[in-house]
Amino acid sequence: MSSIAHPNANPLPELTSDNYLNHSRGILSWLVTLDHKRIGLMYLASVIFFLILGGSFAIILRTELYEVGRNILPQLPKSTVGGDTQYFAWTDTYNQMFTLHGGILVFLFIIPAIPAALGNFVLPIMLGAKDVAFPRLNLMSYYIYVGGAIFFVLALVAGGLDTGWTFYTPYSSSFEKGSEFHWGVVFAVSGAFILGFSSILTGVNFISTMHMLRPPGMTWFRMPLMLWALYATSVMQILATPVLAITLMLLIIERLYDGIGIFDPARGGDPVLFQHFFWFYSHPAVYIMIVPGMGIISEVISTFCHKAIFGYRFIACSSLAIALVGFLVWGHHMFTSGQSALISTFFALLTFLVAIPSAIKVFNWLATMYKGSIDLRTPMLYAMLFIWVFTVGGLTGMFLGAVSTDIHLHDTYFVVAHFHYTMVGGTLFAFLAGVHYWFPKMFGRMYSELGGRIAWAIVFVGFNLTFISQFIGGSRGMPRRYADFGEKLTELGFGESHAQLFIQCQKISTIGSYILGIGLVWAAIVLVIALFKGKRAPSNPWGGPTLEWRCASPPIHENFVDTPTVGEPYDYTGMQYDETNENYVVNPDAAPAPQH
Amino acid sequence: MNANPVSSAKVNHTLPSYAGTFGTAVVIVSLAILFAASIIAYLVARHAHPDLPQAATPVGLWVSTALLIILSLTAHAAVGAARQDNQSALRTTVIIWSVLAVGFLVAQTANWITWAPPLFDRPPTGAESDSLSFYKMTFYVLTGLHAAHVVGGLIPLAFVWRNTMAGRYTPQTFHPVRNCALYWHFLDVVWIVMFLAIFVIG
Repeated sequence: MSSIAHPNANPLPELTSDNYLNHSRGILSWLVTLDHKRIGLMYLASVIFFLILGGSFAIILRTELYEVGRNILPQLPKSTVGGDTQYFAWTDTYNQMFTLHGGILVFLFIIPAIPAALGNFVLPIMLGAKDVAFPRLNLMSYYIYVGGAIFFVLALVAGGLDTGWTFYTPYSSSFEKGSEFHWGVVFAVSGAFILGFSSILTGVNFISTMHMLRPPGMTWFRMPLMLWALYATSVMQILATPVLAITLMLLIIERLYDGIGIFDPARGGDPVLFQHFFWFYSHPAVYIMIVPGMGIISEVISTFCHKAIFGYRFIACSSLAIALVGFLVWGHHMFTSGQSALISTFFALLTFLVAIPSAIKVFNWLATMYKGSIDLRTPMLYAMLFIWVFTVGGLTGMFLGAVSTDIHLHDTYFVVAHFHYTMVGGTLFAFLAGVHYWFPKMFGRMYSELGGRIAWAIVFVGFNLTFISQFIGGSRGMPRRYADFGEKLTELGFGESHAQLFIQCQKISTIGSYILGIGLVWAAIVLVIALFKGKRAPSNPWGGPTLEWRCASPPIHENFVDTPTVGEPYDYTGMQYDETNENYVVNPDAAPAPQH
Repeated sequence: MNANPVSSAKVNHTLPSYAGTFGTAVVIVSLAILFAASIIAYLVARHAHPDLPQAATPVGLWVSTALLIILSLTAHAAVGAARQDNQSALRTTVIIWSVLAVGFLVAQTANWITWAPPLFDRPPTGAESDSLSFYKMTFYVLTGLHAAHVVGGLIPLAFVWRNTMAGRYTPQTFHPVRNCALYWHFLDVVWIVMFLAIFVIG
């Protein structure tokens, strides 16, 4: 790649020139917009709001766990009988906090964060289309999401939700008679039910878009890997989410109408049946969370290594393989539920299969970086953090997938640390990589590279401190979901040395979570400042090869003025750095690169 | 790798005419999983209560089943009429289709009311009362879930009605009729499977 100074380069158009952000004006033009880019931004604002809400619960929980005994959690009112208000114990408040932390972050942040928010913005542009196949359906999905979110958050004021984000029966199906405040579970479960529709409709829209709106030249194996990831995600969304819908509906009915037994053992139901149904959705759902993140990482690594992705077809097909195998492993959440040893063995073996496509991706990313011209910008740093964290999360998953070790580790902080390494490390960091990567495209402004890198470093330290300490405690049996690590531990049979270790692990974890929180707030401040004061972004500030870098920053309403010609993906032939505009341009006269 | 510009034609910003059919098919796949999961949940839960008496099939259910099968045939005829630009036949079939759709819902409501006594109004005793309330729920949940989707199907049918009466469907633009018919065929198939699951296997 060569660097050029264009004496006659066209200056960048002003931000006031026509683009999707100012194409039409007024709040209403946003609320009823059919533009996939605006809908994507509305999703982005919503998911970030819920990230802040769910993250605040996490900080409150960690603060509570810093010292033995009750620290900050209040007692919430339970019911009022004749002027006498009765209160929940503070430990009940703790149960509600961790449930809402998990529920809000899983259903309202992680699941829609990448497909619905970033995916909506980039999918049609990367494909070379003007919009998604069904724009009205797209807007409807957004409002269904908002409706579901409102229901979910109503649980906060309707007596709280204390079942864990998994809504396990009988926690969710039984409740104290006479309590006025038992509607929380019903609201939250209804919310999750409604959110499922949003997820399904987004999946339908994305699949239809990729089938129907590929421009001439865009064959399946020319689609950027982000699109393959979104395709695999959409397939899981439409096939798995309906199972959650019927499960939650049965749960609501069981809770509202007395004397009916499907899941509640007190009424002749089977709580393990609930677990089967729940995890038949929720295991594919964890891949709904991680696979689109992997798509972002594939894009970012190729761009910042200035090198075609290694093993394109393998990465594309491994997304589909993860989606397929993801449907066959749900029983590994239930090794201690009393299912037969034979079934558990099969589920364990199938679980190990997931390691193959996951490892294919990791090896291909590393092979892409090998001998690449690596540019350590903020998105690339997050992508490398993703690889490290996801690998740790994946490898600790092997211990949990093996029946014998899982029985020891079940319900300990080892599990908590494992899924935070995959979900936060997977989705949140990929989301941050994606937000930084496409930020110049979304808003036409550059953020401070130094500020972004410092935030990344703080996040790196904070995240690993928070969760490595949980691995250490968890591997020695530190139980999850405990509000207090005081004298109860010795009553439970833990020795004094274990109890001391657990208390120390909790302290370190809390300190780590504060550092992580500071890093995330820092990153947010950097981006918010850039939103208003950032330098004007060129159309291709990173040297990205995919179609979204060939339209203006920010894109015009129709995305493209002229037709993008669709060739091979990840083709860096003739890409030159234009120092005048700090932009990458394609020199059409460049000789074709030699075949590798 | 070579830059290989394949086409310099304008980006195709218009959907192909069969896009709606494709989208409908994807939705139907998703709904099929929904109904399959609910029927499996029913069968598993039913299996856990082997002492339950076999449900008697209310006569009204045969009526609603027949209505839905005739509806499916009518919808098929409507698609054929639209494809051949036979406007009067299209109008007739869409009217019959809509009448049958509403008729099915009326029949189901009647079934819900008449269904209850033989199943639930026996004086329940002890363990049997649990079983009966289980039955009550699963019947109403399964048929209710189906009925909700029938109600949902009335919305596209209303659009088809409006455009048919306005004479907007031609052999080039008949796809919405086909998409709507596809959905109603699906409701028909689901109903038959559900009927078998509750009254033949159950």
